[in-house]
Amino acid sequence: MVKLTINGRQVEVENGSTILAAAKKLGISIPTFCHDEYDRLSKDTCPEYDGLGDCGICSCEVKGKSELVKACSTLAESGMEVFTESQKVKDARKEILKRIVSIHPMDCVNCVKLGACKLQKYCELYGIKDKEYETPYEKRGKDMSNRFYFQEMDKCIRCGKCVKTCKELVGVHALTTCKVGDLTYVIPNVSDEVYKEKVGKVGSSLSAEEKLKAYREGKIGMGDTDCVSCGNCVSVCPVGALMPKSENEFREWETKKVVTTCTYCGVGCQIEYSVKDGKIVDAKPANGPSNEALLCIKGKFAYDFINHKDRLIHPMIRKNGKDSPLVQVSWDEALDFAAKKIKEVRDEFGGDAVAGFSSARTINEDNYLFQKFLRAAVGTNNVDHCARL
Amino acid sequence: MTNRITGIKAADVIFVTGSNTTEAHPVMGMYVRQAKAAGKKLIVADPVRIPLAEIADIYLQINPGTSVALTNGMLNVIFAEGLEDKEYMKEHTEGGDELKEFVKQYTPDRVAKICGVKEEDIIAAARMYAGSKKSYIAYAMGITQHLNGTENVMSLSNLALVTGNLGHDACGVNPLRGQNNVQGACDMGALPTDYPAYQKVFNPDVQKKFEDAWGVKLNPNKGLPVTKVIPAILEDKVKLLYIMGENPVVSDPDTEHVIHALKKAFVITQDLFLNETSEYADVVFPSTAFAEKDGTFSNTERRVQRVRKLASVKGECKDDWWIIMNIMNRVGYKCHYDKPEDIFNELRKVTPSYAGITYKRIEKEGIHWPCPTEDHPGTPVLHAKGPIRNGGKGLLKVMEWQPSPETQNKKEYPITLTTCRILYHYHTRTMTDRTRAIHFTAPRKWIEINKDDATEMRISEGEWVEVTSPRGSVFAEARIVDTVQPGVAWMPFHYAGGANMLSDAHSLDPISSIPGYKQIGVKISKVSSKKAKALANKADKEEIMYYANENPNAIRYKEEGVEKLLMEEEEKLLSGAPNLIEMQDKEGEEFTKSQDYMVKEQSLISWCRNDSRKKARKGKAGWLPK
Repeated sequence: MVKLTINGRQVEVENGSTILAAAKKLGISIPTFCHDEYDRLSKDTCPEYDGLGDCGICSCEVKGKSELVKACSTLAESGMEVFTESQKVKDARKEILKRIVSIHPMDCVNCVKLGACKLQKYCELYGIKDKEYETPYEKRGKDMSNRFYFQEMDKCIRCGKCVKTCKELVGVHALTTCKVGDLTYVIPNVSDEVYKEKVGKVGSSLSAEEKLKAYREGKIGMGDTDCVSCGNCVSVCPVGALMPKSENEFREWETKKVVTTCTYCGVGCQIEYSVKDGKIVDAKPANGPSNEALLCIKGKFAYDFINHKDRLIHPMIRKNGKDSPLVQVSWDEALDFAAKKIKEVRDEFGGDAVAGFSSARTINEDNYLFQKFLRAAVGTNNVDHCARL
Repeated sequence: MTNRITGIKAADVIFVTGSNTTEAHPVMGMYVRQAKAAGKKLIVADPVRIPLAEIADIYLQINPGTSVALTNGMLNVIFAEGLEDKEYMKEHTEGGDELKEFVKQYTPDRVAKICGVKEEDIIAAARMYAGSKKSYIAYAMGITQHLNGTENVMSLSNLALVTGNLGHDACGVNPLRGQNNVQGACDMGALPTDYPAYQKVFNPDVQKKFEDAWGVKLNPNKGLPVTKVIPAILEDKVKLLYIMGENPVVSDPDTEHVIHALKKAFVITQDLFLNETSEYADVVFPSTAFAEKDGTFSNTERRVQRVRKLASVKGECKDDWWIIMNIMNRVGYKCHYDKPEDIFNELRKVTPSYAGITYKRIEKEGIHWPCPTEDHPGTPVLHAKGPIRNGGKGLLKVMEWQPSPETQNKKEYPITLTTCRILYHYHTRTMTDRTRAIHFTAPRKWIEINKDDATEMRISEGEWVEVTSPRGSVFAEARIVDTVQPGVAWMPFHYAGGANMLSDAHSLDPISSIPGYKQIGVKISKVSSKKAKALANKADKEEIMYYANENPNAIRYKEEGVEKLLMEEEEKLLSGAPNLIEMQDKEGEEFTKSQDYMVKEQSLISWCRNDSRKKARKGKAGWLPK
């Protein structure tokens, strides 16, 4: 264990912990862009990652050191005195933010990320109101070629989390980078054949400029990659560069967050839903033990059925056999109608003339009560569900 | 699962068989990819060259239904080369000698012929699997949905027991269960022979226990499994069917036969939507979705996790438990619960494996059952002190491989059809198809046929074919692939009027009553061009219906420019699509909309279709042209 002080408060952390982790323990938040909050991403320095990450926004001052240190990668040492918000730190962060803002469109009001954007949050915190200078960069506009999300490279702050998440966690590698001038751009990782088809030359023979040009001109897009639309890149993006295509109109501050278990496959991922006025408007992976803050396409995007207009909202019965139409009735009438028939069949032909299919889609409590209903109230073991199907 | 989900990342060797993990359990598929990137070994055995096969160290493209032969062949190599864990076998298994003797006849060269794979690959797979004490078997319905599904599972269990890959982390026999709470539904006794926690209905002591707990006399006879209820209705033994949140018309074998039965019985359904099954229902109860209820799900690693109410309840929808409770009271069994937690606390008393789990304990993180007491931490790894069977001895069972009768009539039905799940859809699509982007990515059924077979049958990409089995026939668009061997084809399981029109409801696995969805003998034939046109037209109309049912202003992507792009695309298509309109005129247009509007919709739809077809062929998401 090591003991250190942060902003004058003492904290004890395990060996090998970073300053960031130590600060978190004290409830002191240090700004981050490229740091993954679950520490899942590598610190690899392969050429593909050149110019990504290493944002420096988490820099802190340590007594006795002339240079600022990065809280996300510097290990806590015994007796260390750390200052996370000294004037020197604030000035350094301002410079970093100014640099990022100089290559970022300032149309926050129109951005769907408004309120959830880290860049916006830190600009507000450190008093950056507008661009002080402009860095020229290659603009792209929105890439809408994936059905589930869109990419707006112009807003990218080059934290590299999307590229790393896709490559290292999802294992698909649908995003890559190209370095043009001093700037690294995140572009779709398109195969040689697709480049050949769309640009006329195989990918390996293209220069970074040519690749970026093909992307800027819309010749290639996310839709040409091996992307599986899991949306994990969207979930990790700290700004509005990767956003779900959604017709839900909401702002971050209008939503409340609730964590629940996903309703699709048996992995049991934990999802944090954003809910506005009783309606789900967005989904993000929570750090559950079985999903480690990852989701798939269904967990991330397929929740529209909940508010779909086809939802049944009234009990219905057929009053005169199968050929008559289903008509809307009150709960009492429907329940009486069903119960009367169950009683009739049970009493006339015995409990075994009734069968029930329970559901692998609903909760344990429903399943328990359903089998109890058939066993205790009807008197049959004819109860099963679709485990075999 | 005997082990944890994330245990797959800690394993040295992962053996994936009968599971298209990246499509059906995508997050687990990500873990397999992470493990592979970290230098772990991967063996894949599957008749379809699934995405994981591309990164596998050894890929065995076995013939459908030959898993037992493959594992016997691997065991043969393991015994012949002395790779078995003799100590573990001695201490924790019985029947080892018989098995060793029996698998001698499954020599690698014989198995290679049965499975249609290379002899050296079988040997290499056996060595690789047996070479580690951290070998993790992950399987799914590619193993179970056969007429010998139970034997397939038992043969995998042999493999794990013989090599001692059981009872510690990062190994085990791990069925990846499909539905979110299929594990929980089984745990809760939604099974014809089991009370909660797999306590048998025919055991008098158990019966007594539940009679005391529930205060009524109980039936000691085994009930009917799903697949036998439908025939029992047709035989007049079952008169009333209560269906909660299922869609047997799509999910059960032999659709026509299911529909016959549903027309005959009094049917009560409880669901979110009117689905294919509720068309035959006498009573339809509207129930709440997962986001509108509190409760618990148990995932495939036996972890009981919380489900929380977060969305508002629609209309007059009621929780499933509320509906059942009210029915119970009306048929004469008095009970009352205020909330799901009350039911959970009751079920804990009769379900020993859940006894120690409370809502409070799983507030932050779920707990693996068995968890017998409130101070028990839960059990992530089963069989840790030796197999849970008399005296900690796992039974090694001798399993003879037998071909499925479905594949024997090669003359009439030369192709073996297997059903698969796809990434985009879930079970019978009632939920996923209502997400627009998903619908347009995979709007309708298709069949993937080997390219050599296709050449022989003169079928080309995108053409309509008729697929026939003794149960019936369906039409589907053909996709020509090289990911299956000649003589094998696959169809997605999800679509109504699809693969289950062809599957057999009568021959089932004798032990588990599972239908043989993975081996259906079929013949595939071209359809006449006239018929094909009519089919295409019908399919397009369905697509129009989908549009018409949607919110009229819901061109979903509201971002500026996209609608314009769609319009441009329409116009482009318009010039090339006069024949569609012609066809519609001939068929007699039943839609009341103006012709102009129709044309626009039509072309938009064909764009979506072409796009998704192209996508599926290349395995890549569609590109909206700029």
